[in-house]
Amino acid sequence: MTDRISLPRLAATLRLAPLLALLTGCGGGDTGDTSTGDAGDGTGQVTIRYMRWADPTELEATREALAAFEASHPDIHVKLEYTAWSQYYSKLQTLMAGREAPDVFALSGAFFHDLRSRGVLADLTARVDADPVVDLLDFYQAPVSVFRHEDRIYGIPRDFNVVALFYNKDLFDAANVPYPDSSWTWRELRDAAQRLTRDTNADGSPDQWGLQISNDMEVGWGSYVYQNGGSVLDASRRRFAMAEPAAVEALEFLRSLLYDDHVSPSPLDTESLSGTPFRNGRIAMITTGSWTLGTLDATEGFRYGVAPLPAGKVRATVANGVAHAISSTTEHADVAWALVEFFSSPEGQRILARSGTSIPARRDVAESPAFLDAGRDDVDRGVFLRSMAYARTLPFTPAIARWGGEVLKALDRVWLGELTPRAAMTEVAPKVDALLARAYAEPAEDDR
Amino acid sequence: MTGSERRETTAALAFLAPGLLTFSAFVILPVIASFVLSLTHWDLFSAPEFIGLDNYVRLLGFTRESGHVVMNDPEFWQSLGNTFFYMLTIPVNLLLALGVASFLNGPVPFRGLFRTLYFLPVVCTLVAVSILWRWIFNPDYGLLNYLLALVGIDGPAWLVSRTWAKPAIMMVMLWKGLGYSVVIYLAGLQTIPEELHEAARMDGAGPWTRFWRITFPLLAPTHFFLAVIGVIWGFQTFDTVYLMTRGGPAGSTQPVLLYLYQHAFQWFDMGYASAIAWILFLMMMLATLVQWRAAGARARGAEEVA
Repeated sequence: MTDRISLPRLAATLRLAPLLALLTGCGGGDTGDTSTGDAGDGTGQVTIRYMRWADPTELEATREALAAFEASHPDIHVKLEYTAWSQYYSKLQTLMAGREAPDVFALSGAFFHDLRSRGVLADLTARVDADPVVDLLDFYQAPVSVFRHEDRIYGIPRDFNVVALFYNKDLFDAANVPYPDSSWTWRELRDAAQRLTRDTNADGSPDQWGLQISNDMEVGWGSYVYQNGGSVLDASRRRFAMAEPAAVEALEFLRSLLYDDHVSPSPLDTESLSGTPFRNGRIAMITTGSWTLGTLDATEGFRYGVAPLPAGKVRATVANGVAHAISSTTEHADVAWALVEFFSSPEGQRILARSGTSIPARRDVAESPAFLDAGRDDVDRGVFLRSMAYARTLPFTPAIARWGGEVLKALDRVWLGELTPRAAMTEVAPKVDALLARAYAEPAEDDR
Repeated sequence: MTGSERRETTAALAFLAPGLLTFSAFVILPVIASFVLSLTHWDLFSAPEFIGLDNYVRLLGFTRESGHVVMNDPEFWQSLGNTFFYMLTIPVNLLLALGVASFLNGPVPFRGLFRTLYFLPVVCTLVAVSILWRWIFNPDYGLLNYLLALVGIDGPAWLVSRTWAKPAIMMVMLWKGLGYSVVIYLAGLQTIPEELHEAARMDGAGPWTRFWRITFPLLAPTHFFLAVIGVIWGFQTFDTVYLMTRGGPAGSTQPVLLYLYQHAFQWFDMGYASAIAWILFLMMMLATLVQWRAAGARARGAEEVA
């Protein structure tokens, strides 16, 4: 009789289950420091987890920033977790699905909408409105807009990247071509590329190329499409717009650089170029993001410069931001916000800027020596900031990896010389539209 | 059941328990779960939403549009086609392996060394191997095109050509898989009693006749084993392609398992990925059954008739 389990007791027993799960889940080797907070030792110290993607070289500035934060917040301990970019999103998603989301984490526009629509991002609007330190008007607006949805704010920009034209000064000097500047248009780009393409061993195929074009929306064809007045998606971001004449014309310009002028390496040519053809002097110009500055600065004996992207019918480049977001399931929302606030403060931004790999999201820090004088004297980093006047953000939508992959596959066949841009884009358009329709139809939104 | 038999059963179960438990927990349960998931839409975040056979319809279904049959998911069929194309390496692998094994079974100098050399690729890390092969396939300074140039052939840009990328990957698969088949064939060859060859030699059979009349038929269980394993592994083609081309150029080398992987771990559509997995499972099952029937009892090595 007495050993019969009563219902309340059973319930009490079962209620322990989540707690046990929590304890074992957080156990990963440092049980003294779990995020369940006040460990009963009287100090009341709270531990939160911060996750970012990073190369090991970028971590130093982050560690410094966290140390500064902990110094001014002695009751908070931040556990830094990081992974390579290639695994970051998978890891983050898996952690979230397992109810193990980090409290604060770095967020890219590429997966912002997928996460937002699943309700795992905390709405930061009220926090920003009430905060004395974080005023989004102090920030560059392009990255801010990426993490805003229907006037709600889900991420505070940490830093951002802008695409510009990088050129090898030695190759320009040798060919006696003036360095690119803000007066350049597609015409000057093509002319220079022609003069910089050389077949030194006269085997019929160049071994020094004028300009490399990547099959990539951000650093490759995206800017050209915008410069020609075209667009990747329409304004509602629900329909594919690259089968429109303006976009097709831009792709046609790029195709002709490959196959009419032979001044840009095709994928087949690229395959024969070794690992880092720009740094090895086999390519005179590339378009890429400001994150490349660090590596190039560190390449001894390599003289390079940066210039704004050449203008087409209009001026355009692509800016892409990284933000800090807070998990909607965090148990330490205030503490998490304190960390985000610090990262977004002038002090935090200045420390993060020391990594030298990306542009601080705060205008006052970006326009200060913290960024402008962080690299070589003969590389004009101001180019990136001035480009922000006409920078576009990528057309982020839910499932962008899915439809973006289809576009890349279709363009592969253009760069391989198998299809015309018009044929490739016309063929892929219904596929992309269908994928977009499916992505927007997903029911996950507003379920929570 | 006598007492001792019962004790034996208990003991057997006790010894099997660790294996059975882990097998159930890590194989059987996930298999059942994946079937249930294949009937849902699940993105890992929200609760799975039951959608009946929708995933299977999206995967296998087709519609008629102005006389043409249009597949709902042409990319699935294209990837499946690629997977079958890669399976063309199986007969080539078996033939080469049989040749090499017969050679190494004879009185060859440095036999042990050769056996090691052929088996070496099997134990090499695929990641390292694929870096090596990417270098070999490099159109400009790669070894393969250098050798082709010596005989006056202008080699293609192997891994970026939609025509040549698949054959290139198949070369790597052959190189990597040959040693395993050779070892299995060597084992098979050693089970053939020498007396049979001696008797045949007395009867005046030449080496060629002896090979086709004695060795080849008696290796039937080995052929069968390697063919079945080859097809099963063939369905699982993934890593070599992933490491060499990631399915490119323009999706032309993508095997069906890479397509599954993308749905599961890049686009987080677990339901659809599970549906693909189940279709693949049924295909493997069917292929094995067909081979089982076609091979006959003796080839399977089962119930050898006295």
